[in-house]
Amino acid sequence: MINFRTVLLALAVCTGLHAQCVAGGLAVVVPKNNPTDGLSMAQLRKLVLGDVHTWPDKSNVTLISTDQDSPIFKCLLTTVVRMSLPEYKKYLLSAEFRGDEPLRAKTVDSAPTAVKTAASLTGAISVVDVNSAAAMVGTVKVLSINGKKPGEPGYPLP
Amino acid sequence: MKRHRNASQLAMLPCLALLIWGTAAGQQPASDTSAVAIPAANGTASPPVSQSLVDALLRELAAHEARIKELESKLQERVSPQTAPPPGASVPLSPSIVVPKPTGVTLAAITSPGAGSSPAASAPVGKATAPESSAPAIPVVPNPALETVATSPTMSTDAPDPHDHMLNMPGGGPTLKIRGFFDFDYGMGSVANPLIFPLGAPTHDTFQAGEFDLFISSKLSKHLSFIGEIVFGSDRTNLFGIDIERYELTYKHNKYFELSAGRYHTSIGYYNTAYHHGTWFGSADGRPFMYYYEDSGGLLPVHNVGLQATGLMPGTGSFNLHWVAEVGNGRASDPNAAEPVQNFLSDRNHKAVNFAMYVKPEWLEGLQLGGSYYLDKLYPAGIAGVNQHIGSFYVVYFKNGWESLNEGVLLRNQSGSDGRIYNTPLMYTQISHQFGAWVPFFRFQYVNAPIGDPINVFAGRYEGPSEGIRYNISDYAALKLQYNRIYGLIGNTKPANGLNANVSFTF
Repeated sequence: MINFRTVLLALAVCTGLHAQCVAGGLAVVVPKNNPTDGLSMAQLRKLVLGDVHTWPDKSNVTLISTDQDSPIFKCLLTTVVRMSLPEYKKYLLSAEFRGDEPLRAKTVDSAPTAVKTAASLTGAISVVDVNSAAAMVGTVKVLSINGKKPGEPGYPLP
Repeated sequence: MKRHRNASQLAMLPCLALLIWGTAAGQQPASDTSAVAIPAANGTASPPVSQSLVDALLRELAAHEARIKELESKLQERVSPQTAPPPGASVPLSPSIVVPKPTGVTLAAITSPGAGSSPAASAPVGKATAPESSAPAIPVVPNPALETVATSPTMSTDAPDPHDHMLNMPGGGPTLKIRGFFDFDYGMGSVANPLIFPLGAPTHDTFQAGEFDLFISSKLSKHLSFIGEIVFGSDRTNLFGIDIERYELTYKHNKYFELSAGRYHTSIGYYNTAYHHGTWFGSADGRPFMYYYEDSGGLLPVHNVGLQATGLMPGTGSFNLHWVAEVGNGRASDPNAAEPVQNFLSDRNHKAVNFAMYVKPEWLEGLQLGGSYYLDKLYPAGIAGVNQHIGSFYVVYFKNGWESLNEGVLLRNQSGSDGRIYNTPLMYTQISHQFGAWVPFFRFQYVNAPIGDPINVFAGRYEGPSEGIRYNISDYAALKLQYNRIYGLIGNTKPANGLNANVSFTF
């Protein structure tokens, strides 16, 4: 019989696994000149899926992502997009096949490069580990997600 | 901070400096100009420098530095994709596609700095804004075979996926993108074939070419785009035929309104506009029987030639209610016409209309609900018109590897001669779940077309399960094995069986 302690243990294990997604957790960064200060998880998901193509200032959204095999990108897929990599690719292709506007994206090989690229490209958005974002916090803006900044209680990204 | 610049960037620096100087000079108020202490031509000393002047100069210097950074960013943005990728940049591996210009889908409701300061920031994507004009972007194509046509001076900020195939016009015209789909089958049994029924000939175990589908798309301007789908396919004659299955010139004003002209897939149900002719997309092998194409035994007008308008319904918030309105030639009145889709010449002045709506609620991610109503009047020989009404409803759900498709259609043909009504219910349900590369699936379908219907090319029941498994060989190729067992075929007392192996891919 599953008792309360077992449930708690399972939750703790799951939480632990979730927390280990990326060391330090994820942060969403945009260029300093982006007027947006925060996103909801639903909005972040739409941006990563290519369902939204422009920012409120009408600049083009460009997703700067780390390599598809990187832990950060895998973490992004599992926690924000909630798809496997093949599903994600299929989703993007399917949108194109329906005639929808495809996602603009640029892939770089590391989180620091992603931050540096995001800092210099108008409309860019990148999801990186908190440490990489913190190292270059002067050049990019770290967005709040669901009203929470990284490190604050209730911040939804692992 | 140490900066890395390449030769082209360095060459641009003098121009940049002049530009900055000119910009700054142009922006400087006249009073400020007089306040800057420049030695006079006669050599007289400048006035004493006050602290306020120093502060003003520092502020101005800071402004200039900010301006320099902004211009450098723009310069890097323009130059980097072709000449100087960011340090460590790699070839992109995501399937994301380069599209040069934005459309009207805009992330609104997050403009104010405080928008993200509370959970209310999860408000839906809101008001539409006109897309920004930008220079035509011609992506760099890593494929050596295409590099000769990718040397336009116009630059893109994006680098394409190796999976992309693009052709660029010298001088910066529209970029033509080509993507292909193909499937190859081995079938055993009369109901093995995933695309044509009835086959019209005795069946044998057969290696079989599927649809060779070339999908092209091009962005013509900020608002205009074009897509086309050209399919080469064969049938019992063993000859290959060519169909332009879709061609749509689309004007997208914003997310609330876009208008397409051409040949499109009618918005009846979900499957028809979600999967089109790309066999690779579907978990199962082939379309449900209710969505077979008109020239392959299908009962519904899945293609139409005319106009299609669609968009997001304003003010529907997190429901994301979308609308679709279509008007077209409709299906040929002669059920045995060589080409049921009226591509060039309509056999009547009356036009078919179709209205559809669907919601994708944000609060139930993965769910989509929709319905449609189609109305037409056909004039088969010897009958004083047939009023055709088609109503559809569907619920689909995709999340965490689960796929659930559930659709029902009622096709109603009413003869104008005797007023008799022929109702044909069509439905299917399909469920699948992905376990790594493996995707087992199950589909049950039911179609019951009454005998004597003046329009339908098929009469009788087509009912039964299909089960199988899909194995994703790679991200862009899949192997499917499917078993069909179909009951109720006219003239058959026993159920028909079919086993089909299929490899499908996109290239």
